[in-house]
Amino acid sequence: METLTTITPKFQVHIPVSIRKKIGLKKHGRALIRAEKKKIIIEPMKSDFLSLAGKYKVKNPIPAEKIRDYIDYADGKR
Amino acid sequence: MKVFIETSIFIRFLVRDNDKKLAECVSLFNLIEEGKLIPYISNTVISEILFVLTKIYKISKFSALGDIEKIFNFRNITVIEKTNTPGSLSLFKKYSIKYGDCLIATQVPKGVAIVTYDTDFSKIPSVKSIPPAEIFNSDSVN
Repeated sequence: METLTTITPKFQVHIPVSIRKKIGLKKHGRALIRAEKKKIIIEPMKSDFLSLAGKYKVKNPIPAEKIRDYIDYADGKR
Repeated sequence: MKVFIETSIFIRFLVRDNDKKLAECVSLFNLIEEGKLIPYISNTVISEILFVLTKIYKISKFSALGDIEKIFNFRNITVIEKTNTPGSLSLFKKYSIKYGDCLIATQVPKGVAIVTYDTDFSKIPSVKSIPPAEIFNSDSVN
């Protein structure tokens, strides 16, 4: 799929709706941009950290609201 | 809107023990990625995340490190490295809260709200603490 867009005097580029729909881009955010010969490739990025949501399932979770009741600042060999 | 992300948020996000709060944290981090929130964290927060994951939940040091390194890729992230010991001791003397809370409270820059599930921060009048759910009702993110 291809369509026309404009590069502004500040070198900003609008991504047309048809292109956004095609790749399922619904939210604005950061993108990886790279040059390949005479082409500019823009790849929307999702944070690495967001992929970690709910990564750990634990047997005895502690209440996060009272987390410092469980943190021993003097941790170490005694 | 500038927000200091406190340890309890990261733990709620990484550990699946409360789906409602996990969803709130995901929405919060999405707002950061969209550039609607400017995030701050600190060396104390990092050390607490490491402690909870490795010592309490017995997660391997390298797995926890890998997770923490990804925090530094957040859009517009600022890491506060300085602590304020006299200020922390003064808060500790004045209010009935944990010293760790005081240490973090003094790291939060002026004009920055602390996003946390720990209600003890609301005992410190000089710090504006808000739970994640309140952020979504804020005009600055809508």
